[in-house]
Amino acid sequence: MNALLQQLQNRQLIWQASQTEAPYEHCQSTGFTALDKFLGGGWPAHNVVELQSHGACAELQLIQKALAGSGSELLQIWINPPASLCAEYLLQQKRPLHQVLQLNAPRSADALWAAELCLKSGSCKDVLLWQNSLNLTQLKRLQLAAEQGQSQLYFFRPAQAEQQLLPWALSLQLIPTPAGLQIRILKRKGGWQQQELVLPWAELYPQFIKPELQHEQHGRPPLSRVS
Amino acid sequence: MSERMEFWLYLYFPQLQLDKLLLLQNTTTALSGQNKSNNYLNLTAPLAIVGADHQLLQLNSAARQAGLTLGMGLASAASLCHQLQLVPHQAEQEQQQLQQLAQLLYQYCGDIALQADSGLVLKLSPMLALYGGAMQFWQQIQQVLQQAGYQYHFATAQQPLVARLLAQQGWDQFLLQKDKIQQQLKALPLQQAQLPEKLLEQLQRLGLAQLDDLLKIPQAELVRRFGIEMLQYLQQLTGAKPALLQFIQPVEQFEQQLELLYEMERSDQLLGPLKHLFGLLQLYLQQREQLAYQLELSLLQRQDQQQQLQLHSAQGEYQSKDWLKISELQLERLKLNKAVIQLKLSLRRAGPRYAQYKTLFAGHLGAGKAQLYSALQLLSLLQARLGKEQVKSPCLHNDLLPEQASSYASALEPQASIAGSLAAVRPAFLVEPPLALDAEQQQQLQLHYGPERLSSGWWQQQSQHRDYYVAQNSQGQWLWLYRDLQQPEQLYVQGYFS
Repeated sequence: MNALLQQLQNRQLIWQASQTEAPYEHCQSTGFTALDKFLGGGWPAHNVVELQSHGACAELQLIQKALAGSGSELLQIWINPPASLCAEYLLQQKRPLHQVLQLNAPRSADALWAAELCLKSGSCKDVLLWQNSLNLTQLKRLQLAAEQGQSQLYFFRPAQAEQQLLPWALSLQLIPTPAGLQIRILKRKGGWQQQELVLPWAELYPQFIKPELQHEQHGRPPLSRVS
Repeated sequence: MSERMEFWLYLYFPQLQLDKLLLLQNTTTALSGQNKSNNYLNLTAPLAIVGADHQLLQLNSAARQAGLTLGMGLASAASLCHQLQLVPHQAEQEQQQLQQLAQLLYQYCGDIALQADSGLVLKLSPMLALYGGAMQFWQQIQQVLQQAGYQYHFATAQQPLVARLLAQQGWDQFLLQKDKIQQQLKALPLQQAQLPEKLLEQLQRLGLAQLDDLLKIPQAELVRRFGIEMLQYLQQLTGAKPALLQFIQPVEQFEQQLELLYEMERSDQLLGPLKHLFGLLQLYLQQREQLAYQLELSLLQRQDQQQQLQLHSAQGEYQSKDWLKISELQLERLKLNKAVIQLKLSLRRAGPRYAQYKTLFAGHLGAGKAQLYSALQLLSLLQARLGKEQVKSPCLHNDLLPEQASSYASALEPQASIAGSLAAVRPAFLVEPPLALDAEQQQQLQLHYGPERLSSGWWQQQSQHRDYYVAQNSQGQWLWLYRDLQQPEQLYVQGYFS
């Protein structure tokens, strides 16, 4: 019986409850206490994280504190961002502009090649990639490259109805609700499905949402002529 | 005394053109491993290089086995071996190869002169002190020649002419003993002594067969009988008058051409010959302690057409393998208009070599892991595949309007900082040009923050006054909106919070 168990364990067919404590080797704190607890520590370090959303719903804000924690000696790479970058925003995040590279790769093969090269180069810490699809082999390559270069890939993708099951270390779906950003875990290595977490907008956008004012909302901008 | 100590080394390359063909075939087939086209020379079958006067000048081993000898006429050669392949002799190309060899050897010997008949004269005596002995010096030279891969004969002597006679005879001895050299010289038949044609005939009629016979006769007698030509010859032979030689100077510019063995139609085939060129570049840069930043590669095609590639490296590289990687990425994207027949590589920008900026004990990488590429190397590779304009860094201009303030600069270039405090509320992405919202979309907006007024300078042509708001649309997306005070009913999307 014991031998059989051992055999099954060697083939990684048995999941042990003790594994839930530390599902990843290393974690990087997200900077949000509730989210850290929800994710069991934070973002898995040196790996690929998927964020599914319709865009413009605080998905960058979610990883911003982790990006700031990476320090500014190494490059930050943005591959195929949905619109042009705002320099003032990057400076607000204390990121030197010449340490940021934006790549435009119209062909998805080129974008993936660039992401892999940057990840394994050892001279970048964070790579942000916007792409619509990814298959198993491509994901594996990116994960190995991230591990080799000790870097992190954030993979942004539009929310899709049909799901191909991929071995992400962490895959999140982000849905904006009136109360805040609803975060659902689609896949988490060594974890199990939990209920959703709603992160209030005031925590995500502290610079313009004051919690005490949040309930009192204007319907439309005041459109009187100001002279 | 110093006159007595002078020694010269003569290197004679009997079949430069043929050796070049063999070398080229080795590099191209080893790398591309592809099948041969029809007009391609088969170097294992009999092959001869033919001079302008239809004499065989160089033969490969198969041709020698077929019974051909050097200096044979075309007609007799064809009758001995009917499948003989002929290649016209290219004296100019040989001279170029000789020049290249001389540049290689310049690293080890300061005084090198080119000779018309495929030979190099090296002045040994000043170099011997430097190398601590003749044999050490000769080993260095041999190493270079072996790497170059050409067949050669050599001889040393106190006079350039004597060294040349012995080398062309194939003596192949590196000796610094006068008496042995003199002995060898004396045994040299008069036909091979490179005497002027007329003199040779006259001497042979007198019954002289070896140089020894000539040297026994008193000089004054010989000169009185045969005139000034004989005097000059004897002076060169005995070293009574120093030889007139023009020593080479190291080249200032790196520019190398490579004739391809056959036409290449696919760009990946070019990597084999390119590796050869980059090897030469590496040697050139190493000797000068330099790094290359920009190279120009010309692909010459039939009918004088050509395509040019600019190869860049932001960090500067000298190693052949790094340049090969960069050119591989660019060649992948390149579509050849026509088959390529010749490659030309020239160095456009180079600089002194400093210590490489790879972090050895990298902070974030664990112990025992070295950085694969530095930031600048990474940039060069990305630019090579994606194109230079597709890789850029954001930059900030001193302007109030967001669309003027944010733009792009060339990658990784440090920018001048702008004084003043940063605005509090800025989105991550900007929409260009700003997107006008229709009435229905405006109805569904939910306002969260604003207004923040931005006014551009009155001194500018089109002075703008805008009120900025943060709002959420019906999908829950966070927008950065503004309205122009000239037409306050219309809202525009300037950016997305993300």
